[in-house]
Amino acid sequence: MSGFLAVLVVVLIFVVIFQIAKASEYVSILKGEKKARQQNNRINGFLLIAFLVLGLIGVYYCNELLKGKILGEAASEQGDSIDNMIMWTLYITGIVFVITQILLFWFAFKYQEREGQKAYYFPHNNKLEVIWTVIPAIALTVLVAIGLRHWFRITSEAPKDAMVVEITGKQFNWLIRYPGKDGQLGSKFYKNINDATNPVGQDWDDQLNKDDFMATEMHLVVGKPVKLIIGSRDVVHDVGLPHFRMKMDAVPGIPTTMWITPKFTTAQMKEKTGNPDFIYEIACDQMCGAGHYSMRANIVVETQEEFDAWVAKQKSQYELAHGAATPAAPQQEAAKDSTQKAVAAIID
Amino acid sequence: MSNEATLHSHQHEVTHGTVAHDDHGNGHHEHHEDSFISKYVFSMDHKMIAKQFLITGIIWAIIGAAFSVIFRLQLAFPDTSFPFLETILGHWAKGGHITPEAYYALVTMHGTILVFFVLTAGLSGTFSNLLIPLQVGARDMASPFMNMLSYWFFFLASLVMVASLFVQTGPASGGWTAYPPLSALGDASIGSKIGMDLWLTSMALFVVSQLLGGLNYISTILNMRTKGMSMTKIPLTIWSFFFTAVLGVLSFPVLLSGFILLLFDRHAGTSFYLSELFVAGKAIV
Repeated sequence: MSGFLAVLVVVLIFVVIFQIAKASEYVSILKGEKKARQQNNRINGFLLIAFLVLGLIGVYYCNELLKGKILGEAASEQGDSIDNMIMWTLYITGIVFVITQILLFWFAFKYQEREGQKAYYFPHNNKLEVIWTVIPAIALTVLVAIGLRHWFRITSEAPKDAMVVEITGKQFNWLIRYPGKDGQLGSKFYKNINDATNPVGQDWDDQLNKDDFMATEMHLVVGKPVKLIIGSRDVVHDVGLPHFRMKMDAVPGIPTTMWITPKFTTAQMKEKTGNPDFIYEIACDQMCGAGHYSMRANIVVETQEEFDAWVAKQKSQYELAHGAATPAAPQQEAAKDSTQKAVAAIID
Repeated sequence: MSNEATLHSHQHEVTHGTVAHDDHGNGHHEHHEDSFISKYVFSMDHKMIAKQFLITGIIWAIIGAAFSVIFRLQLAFPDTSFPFLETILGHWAKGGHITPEAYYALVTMHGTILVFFVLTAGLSGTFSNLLIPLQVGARDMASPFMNMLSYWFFFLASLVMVASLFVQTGPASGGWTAYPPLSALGDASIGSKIGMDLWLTSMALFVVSQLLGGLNYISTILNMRTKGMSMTKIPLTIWSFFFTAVLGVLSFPVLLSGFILLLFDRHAGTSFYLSELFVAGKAIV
């Protein structure tokens, strides 16, 4: 019944709109077509100016209202220059936006049809055309060039002293791997993947893999460049780092890289934002399936001492998979067997 | 069929029709009367085809907008229960909350419908068909028959897309950009099962429709301008339709081959978009 009433209301609203439109048409015929048009012109001209003024006030009001909700200062050195680029882009396009909007609506109002005012025929002006083609072209080229410079910088080879972290996306969480003491990541192969003991598919015959360890949180050192080696196990994901102003697609089969330098520790950010629960987060920025909304990981930025202390506590994935460091419990024994069998099967 | 041939055959038909009328003694008829089918359904008149595109586009716009209202309602009030959603969506919105799968499906279909069926077919199809012959001074499109096919391929695409909304595993839900491997593997997402096949079929039909339309717009603008209407004198609207059509003809064939390759990946065991993947607990070669 309520559904029927809702449909009835919608139909009635359409009928009312139709009747109003018809009535105003009759009124205009009674008044005389020309007079009605002139009156319409004046109303429309006024509405255009009203729209301009209210629109610009609205833009300003939204800006004031939502100012506090944006992310605040960038937390990486590269992020600062990204913010800088966005600021300049907004200044340039903002100035053009305000000028063109004012001209658009003001001209429509000022040069509306009037008694005794005839339209000026102005077909072509080469000088004008060149000016409004060349200036925007140069401005846009400069903006694009700045963007490209940033892109090449963050995707270029990281500085020599940079630490390396590998991050692999899977449905629906992030797998984070550190290279361990030797500073080199071991090789991996997708057929070695085993969710219980070998989530990224490390090749245990590779000596470089013996000290690589997996982590649930990404720990970074403040002020030290970090190179992220980004990959995916299944579908396309995206490492989104809103606080560092970075993101990079995680594409299966095509490793991507990006490097950043964190500027503030998590503790400093807690103070800066006044939020005791502040955490840096990695959010998946590419639609990747049903659990996409929940695909996140935390980043902890800390001092070198804290980082070293944390690393010292980590167990390599090799140890965890093979249970070598602990007395052989039956479960681990079983895990070891299955892993060895799996590896053997692949080698065969 | 060349433009000339189409024109001549059309003229021939008209002449033939008049002769037939004379045979029946209906001399007082000024022109050939179309039957309901040839006037309103399988019409070759560019204005009628424009209206067909317009009405279909409006219906799609209402569906697409309704989807966006539904998922934005959930986005704006994530903790509120809307029992009417369960009435509409059934198990996709148990307890008045849209499930994540249904949410992504709604977003995907909203994007697909708006970008392709409303903006491309609904707007470009309507206005190009209506205005190009009128503004260049042609009697009709270069090929009225191709123009009719263009609409009916769009209609077929629409039917398949509507059907995909009602399959048990839901419509495509990997985003309107349909990035593989998410869109290639049914194991990666429930929306990548039969819903994705229907999506691809529908989009392939849609591309055919747009190619038939686009080639027609281009040849009409290039060949069928009235006397004295040089390319530098055609209205700016026509220039913009012309560029839209050229861009469409350049990009849609690429899109079509993309769809076909993706269908191959899904059903013929090829791996154009698949690499070394580990999905749903097993490695895929």
